[in-house]
Amino acid sequence: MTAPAPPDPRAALGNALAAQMSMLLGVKTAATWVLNPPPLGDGISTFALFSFANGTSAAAVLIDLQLSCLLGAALLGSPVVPPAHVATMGAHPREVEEALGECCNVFAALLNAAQPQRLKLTGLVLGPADLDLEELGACRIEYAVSITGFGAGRLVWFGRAAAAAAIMAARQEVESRALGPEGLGDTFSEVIGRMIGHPPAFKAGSRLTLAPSLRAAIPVFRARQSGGIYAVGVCELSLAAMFGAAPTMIPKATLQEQTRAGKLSGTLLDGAHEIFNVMAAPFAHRKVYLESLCWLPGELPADVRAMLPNNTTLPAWEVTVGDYGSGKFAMAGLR
Amino acid sequence: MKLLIVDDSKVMRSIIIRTLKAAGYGDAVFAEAGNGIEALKAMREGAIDLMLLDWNMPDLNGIDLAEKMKAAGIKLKFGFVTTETSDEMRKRATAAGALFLVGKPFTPEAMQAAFAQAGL
Repeated sequence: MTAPAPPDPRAALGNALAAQMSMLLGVKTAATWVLNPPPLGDGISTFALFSFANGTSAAAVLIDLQLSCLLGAALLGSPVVPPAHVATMGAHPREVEEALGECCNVFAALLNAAQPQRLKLTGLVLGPADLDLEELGACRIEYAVSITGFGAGRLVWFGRAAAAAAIMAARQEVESRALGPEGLGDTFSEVIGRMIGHPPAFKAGSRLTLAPSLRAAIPVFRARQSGGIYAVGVCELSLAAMFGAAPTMIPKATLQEQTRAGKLSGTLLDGAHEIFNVMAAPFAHRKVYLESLCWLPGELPADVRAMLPNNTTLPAWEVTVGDYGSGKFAMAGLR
Repeated sequence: MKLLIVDDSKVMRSIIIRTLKAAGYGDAVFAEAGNGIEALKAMREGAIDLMLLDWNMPDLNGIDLAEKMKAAGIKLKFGFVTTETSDEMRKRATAAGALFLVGKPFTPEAMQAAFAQAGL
């Protein structure tokens, strides 16, 4: 399997920006990184200024007047204020400015994700597009932003904090690819394959409903540093039995017997435990470990139960373990 | 060559042995222990060339056993086969005299590399 090329940090920041703006606006929004943009001209733009707690300037985001008016309309659900009107008045209407402030808080969150020091939005100002932002450093990243149903405009990030945000966005994109349903399924397949001698197939796209009658093994993965639950697995009992049987090639009849009885024991339980144990390996960099193995139906610790509300449907993998058969496995709470 | 596999999971011991066989150590004699106390007993019973230790075990865990062996001046080649392989654990294992630390899940190649590190 060839690993995909790592994303350009500037493109990754655009993806993160688009995802956050889509959620905020409630309509699909794209932010495409533009490598060699034409000059912005001499009109005015909206600037969001960000600084650290001690007042040091950290970053700025330029939103061209057209885009800032579209954003205001999309956020407020009101008609678009004509950019010419804003230019004449020298300010956005107060409610549009407040709405733009909400949008800029999203930018602040993206910046803060990459900073050891917290920074905050210090203000929104209108100013010439060629405003001198030299004190923020040479970093400048421009996006073409398109809001479905509204229109498009230009948005530019300035400052070293923006560069750090882009690098963080790229890291998160790589991690989310690796931990997404496809990537994580492949990883689980590989680590379990090492234990049982042949990789089980993890096929994404299935669903698993937490019905009260569900019989399942619940491996609980905890993060050593934070002490919090990192993820909780939900593994159909029949699949847990297959996991338990595969390392030592226990005959099918034995696992069928224990599955019918609704409880794994002996070598089958030992084997299942070892398989769930190595499923923590993909998260080793976060110091995640298998803390316990619980069972459904049955009592679960309160923090585990809170992650598995009755009748919730989780995305799941259909896992095939060699000749033993297949069953469903899901992960809840994976971050 | 006599290898002592120390792990509280019988299944894991069998996986380690199967992997070692796949790595080319099928001619070795394999002894097994379920915790540190059983490992000490096995050490007394016969000459062990290399011990593979799990880190977390009931009664006497792997690192405690290694540190006790060092304190008692017992000279035996050993390494860890464990799920967590943090830098702190590596440092503590090395300080206790471990020759390698192999993370679970492992491959035959990882075992070969570990054995080479142990000079076997």
